Amino acid sequence: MIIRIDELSDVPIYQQIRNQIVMGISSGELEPEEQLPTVRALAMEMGINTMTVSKAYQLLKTEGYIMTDRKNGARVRSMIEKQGRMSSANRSELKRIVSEASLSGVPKEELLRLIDEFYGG
Amino acid sequence: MADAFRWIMFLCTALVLLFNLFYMYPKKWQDRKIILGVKSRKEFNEAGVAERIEAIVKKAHRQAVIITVVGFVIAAMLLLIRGMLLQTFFWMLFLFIVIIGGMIPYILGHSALMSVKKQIGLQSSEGILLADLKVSGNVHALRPAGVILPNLVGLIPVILSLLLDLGVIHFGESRTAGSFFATIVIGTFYLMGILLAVFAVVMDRMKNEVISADSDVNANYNRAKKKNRADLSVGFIWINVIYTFSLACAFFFWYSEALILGGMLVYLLLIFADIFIFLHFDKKIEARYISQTQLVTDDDAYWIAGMFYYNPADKHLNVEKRAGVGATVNLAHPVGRIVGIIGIGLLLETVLALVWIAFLETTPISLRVEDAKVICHQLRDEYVIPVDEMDSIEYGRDIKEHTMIRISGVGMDTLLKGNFSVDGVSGCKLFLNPQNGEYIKIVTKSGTTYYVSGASDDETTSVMTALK
Repeated sequence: MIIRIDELSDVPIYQQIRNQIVMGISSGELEPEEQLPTVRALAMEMGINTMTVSKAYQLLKTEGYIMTDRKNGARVRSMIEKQGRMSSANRSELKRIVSEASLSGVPKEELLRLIDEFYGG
Repeated sequence: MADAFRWIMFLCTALVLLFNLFYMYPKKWQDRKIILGVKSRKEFNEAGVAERIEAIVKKAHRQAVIITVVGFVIAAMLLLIRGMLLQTFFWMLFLFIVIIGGMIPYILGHSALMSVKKQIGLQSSEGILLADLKVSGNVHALRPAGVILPNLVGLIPVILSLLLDLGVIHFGESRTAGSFFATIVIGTFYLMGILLAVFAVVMDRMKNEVISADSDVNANYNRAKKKNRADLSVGFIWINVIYTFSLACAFFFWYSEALILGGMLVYLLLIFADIFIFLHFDKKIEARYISQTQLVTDDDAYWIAGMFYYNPADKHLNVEKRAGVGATVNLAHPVGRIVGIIGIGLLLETVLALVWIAFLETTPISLRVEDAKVICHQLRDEYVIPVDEMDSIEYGRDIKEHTMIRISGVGMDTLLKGNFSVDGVSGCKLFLNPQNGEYIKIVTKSGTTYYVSGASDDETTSVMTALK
């Protein structure tokens, strides 16, 4: 799976890493139990600070997407807790996206098609 | 010695010229990832653009051919120069001109290509970083044994030479035994092997490139590139080990400066052969993967003249070179800045060294007796030998009858100054012009042996008369 980081973006780098790993898990690019690179390896590969990658992994661990241990490093969780509801932050983000699409004249069917595509199996 | 030096310099120049021509200025740019320091983009193949790229590449190649031909003619003419000083001065100067002059078509071509990119609206992907999670930290091609084994083998001649110097073992007809000269020379080449091992590890740990959305393609591409780099480094180390063995044989059994310099010539040839093999395979790898390259991180904006990498946002110290072989440093990195300053310092130091050599060669040595002391003087060096400390004085007619090996100091056709081993006796102090045959050998009561002569045989004779 390819991670693409925009250093000039307003979104912090650790957040971009976190978001892309979440999207990778959701799309199936990252499979359950799949090994992730070590903090050091990913930081070296991208030429960024290890603390940035560590922060992203910490966030992913807290949110229950990955698990880490000293022996095996970081891996995608096999069972991700399904709460069955959206967080308030995501709900307001979705509201913003839908509002912008509506104002831009994107048809509702197109939005639903995109949701279908991104939602996956 | 001057002959061997002349041919070594000719070989270096010829290989630099050929390397420049065939590697830096490709005739066919379509299968190159980097064209004159600019990352190739699929838009370059579009009608109207391809012709412009072709014209720029051809022009640069034509200019490079002219530089190569002129370079070979001048190099052939330099072969006719006699005298170590003139040779050193002109060859070094010429090598600088070849390296810098050889870059001019590259810089001009780079600038033209960047203009084309700008005109067709292509922008560098500034601030974009790509990483393949499945490849990160997982692709290595260097086996530790590959660098450890040759360095262990290379330790054998160093240890033998050291034991010989310490008098623990005795064999061969070593004239340098006890002087540590052979150990220093062999050890220096051995240390190069250690440095090459470090270089190999750095190359193996360099950032993996993301060229495709398919992780297998990325892994295979990076593995092939790293394997080629590892082979280059390991090849270097083995060549270095072979040379340390041949140096040891030359010092232990058949000492001759011509043999050592001849060996150096072969050593350089092997190193260049190793580089050419690396370039051949590197070109093949790039051509093999060019069709599978879907993702291009265009960081041209961070490459000054397509040669010097300056990216403050990149924490990497090492990046793959765009012009040449191996890795270069990120000049925006703190360590990169230090390396850059050291590089400029070394260039200046070489120029200053050439000027100093010119002074050494053109300033005559002087020998006189004053206040019951023999005074040898040249530039900032002065040997003072009080007459009452002399144990024996001997006058010789032909200094060339002796075998003199420099341990420290200056050893030129017209000047021998410093610590030398003379006929196997180490620790002798020399201050003479070997072109004048006559010399005075002075042994002091403390056991130090001096071989001295004046600017001319007459000066030497008059000092000898005064001492009598």
